[in-house]
Amino acid sequence: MDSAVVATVILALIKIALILAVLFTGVAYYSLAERKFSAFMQDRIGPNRCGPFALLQPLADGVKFFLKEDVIPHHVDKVLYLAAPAMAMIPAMATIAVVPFADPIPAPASGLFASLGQIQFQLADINVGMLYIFAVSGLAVYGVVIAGWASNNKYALLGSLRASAQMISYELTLGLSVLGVFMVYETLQLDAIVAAQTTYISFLPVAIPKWGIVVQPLGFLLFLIATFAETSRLPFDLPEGEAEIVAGYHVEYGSMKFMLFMLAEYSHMIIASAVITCLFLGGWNLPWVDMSGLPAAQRVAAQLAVFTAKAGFFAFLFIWVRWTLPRFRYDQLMRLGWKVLLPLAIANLVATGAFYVVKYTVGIG
Amino acid sequence: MAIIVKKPAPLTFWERIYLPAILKGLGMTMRHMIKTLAGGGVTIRYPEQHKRVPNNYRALHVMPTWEDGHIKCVACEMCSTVCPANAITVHAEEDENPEIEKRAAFYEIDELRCIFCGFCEEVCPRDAIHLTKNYEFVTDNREGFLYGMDRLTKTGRLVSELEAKENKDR
Repeated sequence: MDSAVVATVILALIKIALILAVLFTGVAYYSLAERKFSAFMQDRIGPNRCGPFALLQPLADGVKFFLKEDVIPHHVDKVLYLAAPAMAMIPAMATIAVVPFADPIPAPASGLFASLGQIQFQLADINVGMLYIFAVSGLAVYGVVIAGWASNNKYALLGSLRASAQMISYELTLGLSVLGVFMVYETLQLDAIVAAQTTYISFLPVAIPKWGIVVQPLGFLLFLIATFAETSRLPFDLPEGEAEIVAGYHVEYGSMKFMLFMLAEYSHMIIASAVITCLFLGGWNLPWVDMSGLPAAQRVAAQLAVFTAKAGFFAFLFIWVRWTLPRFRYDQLMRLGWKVLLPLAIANLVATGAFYVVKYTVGIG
Repeated sequence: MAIIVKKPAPLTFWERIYLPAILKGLGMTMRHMIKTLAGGGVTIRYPEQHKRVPNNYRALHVMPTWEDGHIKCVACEMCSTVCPANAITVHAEEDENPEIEKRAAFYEIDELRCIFCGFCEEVCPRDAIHLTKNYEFVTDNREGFLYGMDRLTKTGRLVSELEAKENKDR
């Protein structure tokens, strides 16, 4: 076999192992952060018994899930019931494949990876990156719907009905709101979008970075709101709605199968934070700071830190909003999605398009 | 007389887009979070910290002794008579000291039956039984809650330990 192919495969395996390890650790500590921050916002202390600052709490939770009895109720459709957690988990994990975390570094001059030329901090650098994310995350609704259907339980079915209606409605806004970003940066490739955001808006006297949030503020807002709905977080957590439909689609699930749903939900949020960072906040770049002069190792460390900080803010925002806002009523959710967000997204799209038509005919900037 | 329903004023544009209200709400949760993180939390971390209980708090009993170690109780059985929960058992015997005449041969309080009303303390003519504020005397067996004279004379020491804990935490 060609040594470049071998190197590519080995590198991909290493990246998969690293990314999944970081993602799952992130999910574990995200759940802890959720509990701690929710406690602080409610004037409580939160978990503080497992290790210093409760840092072993996720481990204890994991052990608990492993030790729980794996119950399969009699009245469920066994095949679909067992497949649903995996169907929820796989899209959540697969979307992270196209998210870039830092600029590529030159490959070592000798050894296995020399033939690759450069090592990218991204699992798959495909030129339809965002389209891939939409396609795969669109599949996430199947896990939820099938879980609700296979459970053969009225609460689960109601939860999954709500979830499917909600996710399909808000996916429109999600897709339309980000089209403006593609118009501005003229690419779907995530690392190219990040690279485009290192430039500054050309026709302004002060150097304002050409970040998505600056050039597409409405698009950013719509994307953020739609992301909350897509990840079924409060105020859009109708699929779960503890007070109304017990726990929604995963009411019949326990032990590891329930844990897979939790993992999927939290990985969704982490990946959504990373994607928002890439699209609207310039990824791993800081404005007015040029990191390209640094040695490769330091540059990667700095960029990873910046990326983590930006994505971490959005991850915190998910928690923050959850413990601030109450849940929407179902008709309010639908009205917001179809009568407010969707027209706004289309208006944003038309306005952005009109701006570029004017720009290219008149020739400003 | 007609009932006039006062309709709420229509929302202004800023109220209708909700975002200012959401930001206000986010500000409130953040304020609470910062307050808690800055040490303004109200939680008493119990096993490490202790709530300061009032001095007339009624919990585990103590039987005080004279300076020579002789127990104050004269086994008059007024405490066991007044006890609404029948938690106190007293058997009397003759004391060697002719001035005391009577003393308790057997004295036992079942702390599981006790309702901590404090009547025994009120009724005692010799000030020989008190309720301390030591509420930490759990065990995992019923026998552990039967406090005889030997243990009741020593529970006062636990109170000073509790007070030391309270003072340490504040």
